[in-house]
Amino acid sequence: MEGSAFSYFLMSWLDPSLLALTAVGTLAGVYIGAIPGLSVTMAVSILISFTFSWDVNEALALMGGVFCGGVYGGSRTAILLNIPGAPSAIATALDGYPLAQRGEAGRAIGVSTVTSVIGGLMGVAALAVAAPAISDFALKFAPRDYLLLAIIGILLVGSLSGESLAKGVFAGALGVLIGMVGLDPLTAEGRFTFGQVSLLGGIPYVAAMIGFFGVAEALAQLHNLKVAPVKQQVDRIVPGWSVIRKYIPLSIRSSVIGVVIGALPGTGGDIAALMAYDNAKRTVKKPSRPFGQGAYEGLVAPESANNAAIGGAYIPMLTLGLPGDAVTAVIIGALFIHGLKPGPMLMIETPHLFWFTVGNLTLANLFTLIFGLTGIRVFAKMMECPRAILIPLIIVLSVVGTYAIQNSVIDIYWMLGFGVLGYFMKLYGFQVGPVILGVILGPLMDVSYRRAMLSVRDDPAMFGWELVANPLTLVLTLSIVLLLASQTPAWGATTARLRRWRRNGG
Amino acid sequence: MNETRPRLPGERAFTLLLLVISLFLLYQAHGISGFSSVSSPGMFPMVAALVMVVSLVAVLVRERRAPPSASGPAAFMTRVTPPVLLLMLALMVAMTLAIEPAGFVVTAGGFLFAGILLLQGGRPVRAAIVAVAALAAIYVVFRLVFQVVLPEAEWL
Repeated sequence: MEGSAFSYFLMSWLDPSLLALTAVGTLAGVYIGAIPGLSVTMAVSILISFTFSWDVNEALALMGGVFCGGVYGGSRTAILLNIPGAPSAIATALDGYPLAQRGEAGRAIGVSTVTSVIGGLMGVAALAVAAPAISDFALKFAPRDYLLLAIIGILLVGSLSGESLAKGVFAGALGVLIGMVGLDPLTAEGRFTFGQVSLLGGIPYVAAMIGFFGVAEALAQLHNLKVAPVKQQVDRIVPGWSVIRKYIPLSIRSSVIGVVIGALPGTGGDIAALMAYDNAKRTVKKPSRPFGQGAYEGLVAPESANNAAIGGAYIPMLTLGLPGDAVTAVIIGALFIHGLKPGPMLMIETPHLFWFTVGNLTLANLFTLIFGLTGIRVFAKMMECPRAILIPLIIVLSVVGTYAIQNSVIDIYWMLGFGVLGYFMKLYGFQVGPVILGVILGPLMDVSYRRAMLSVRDDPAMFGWELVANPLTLVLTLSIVLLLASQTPAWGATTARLRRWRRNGG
Repeated sequence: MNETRPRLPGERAFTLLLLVISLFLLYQAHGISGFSSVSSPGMFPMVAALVMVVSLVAVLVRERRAPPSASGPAAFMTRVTPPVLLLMLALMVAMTLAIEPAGFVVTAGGFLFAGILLLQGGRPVRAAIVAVAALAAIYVVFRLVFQVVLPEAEWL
């Protein structure tokens, strides 16, 4: 068994076409992540429709590469232009841009590359160690536990990433409803079909993904047409070993934060990076410079954490079938298309897929290191690609991607409709990430809820008792109660009173 | 924790519109199987629609005191739907309408040319060169390498 696991691990290293796809994916990811307006989620959603006729390993190799390269690539523009190329690089800009202003852009890119890869490898290691254990444990999960985990995911992403919990929860619930359209999986009754035969099969979720992440983003970028790219001189970027050694402890600490945040359902690299930055700010006693003015610590922490969050996000995806963040939600969609069912049985039925993923992500991190430290001149040229060209290109790619799923023009209309809705939602402070989580989690929640209810013969009182009777379920229920309570005004008042009481008492 | 951001033009109307749609969906969800049993197919959709309604009411209550930024149709046109956005949307709809009768190459090429021309504000020769180059790249990568089926016109 161990031997075969290792051979699956090496699969993408030894097969030339998989090796090439991983390399191409990572290289493309670095640029996609770096170019503001192109996001990893967008790229992966569009890629699903281009790769669904491929072998699943090849599709996963490409997507894994884009994911790793993209999360790293966002830091480039954050440092050089103070524009985070991806949400996970928002925290990177806080100290990265001041470093570039001091003329240390090359060194900053070098340090961020190396610490990104340290974080990424820590994340993969955590995935390799934790996922088999969690997967065994997950076999004991009852439908009600899945329901509660999914609710936690939507609440977490809603409360942490948007303007307000209410807006995040709305977006999540909207996604759940979009996922409900079509034939009910248990009774084959039509839901929200409005008598339309074309709606019986449900709303094509890849069209929704491309609409929300491709077209909506392209439309939102129309407001930034006038932002002129700034040119930066960057030369030597390979950092010395002594510099790296100094930051390894912080990098490892931040990676742990990244893995944990990434592994929570719903939360990904963007939140992990902000949390790690905040943690570094509070715990690093003597930063190289004050935070916010070009401290290398402020670069190391978010960059390690957001890449570590990739491995973390794969954990709930491969073990429970719950997306760790928006990108893994899209990848789950890809696995569905390939006829695979992510969840605890995935590790038992297709262990090769798991070890292949671990090996592939390790490889993608090594490619990130190579591409991160080379090709900086070409990169600077690419950054000058004006939005006037980029925006129409994104839209055409979105159309091609949507049409490719089932060669249907109706899907393109869906995609455009979701794009326009997503544009208004973004503009008015509703996040679109929870919508996609809802689309993926909705059907799972529905079926889990009804199985749980049927198992207690439709007795709501018994259902309520089940939520607190089992230790694991109780922990999950309490987490939801705490999450909701922390959003009410009473929570702030209570914690303030507690703090006062503690201060007076001690 | 949440600083109140000035309300954008049309923000409240958008939230109200979402509320009306959510109420309609709640009504539709009720129509699936009513309250026949707690594990009926309509139960979860009803819960989801109810959550949408409640969260939107919470948004409206929380933002009732947010100071409006400039309001009126003129502010809406500049901040929310600038002409360039409406023109892009029109181009997108035109492309979707034309893609089956006219085929992908002609439609996407036309869209790229018109879109780039619109966004860079002139310079048709540059727009044409970029459009043709981008179209060729898309065609080679997706049609020839990825083997994606693209709509083709009968007469081409």
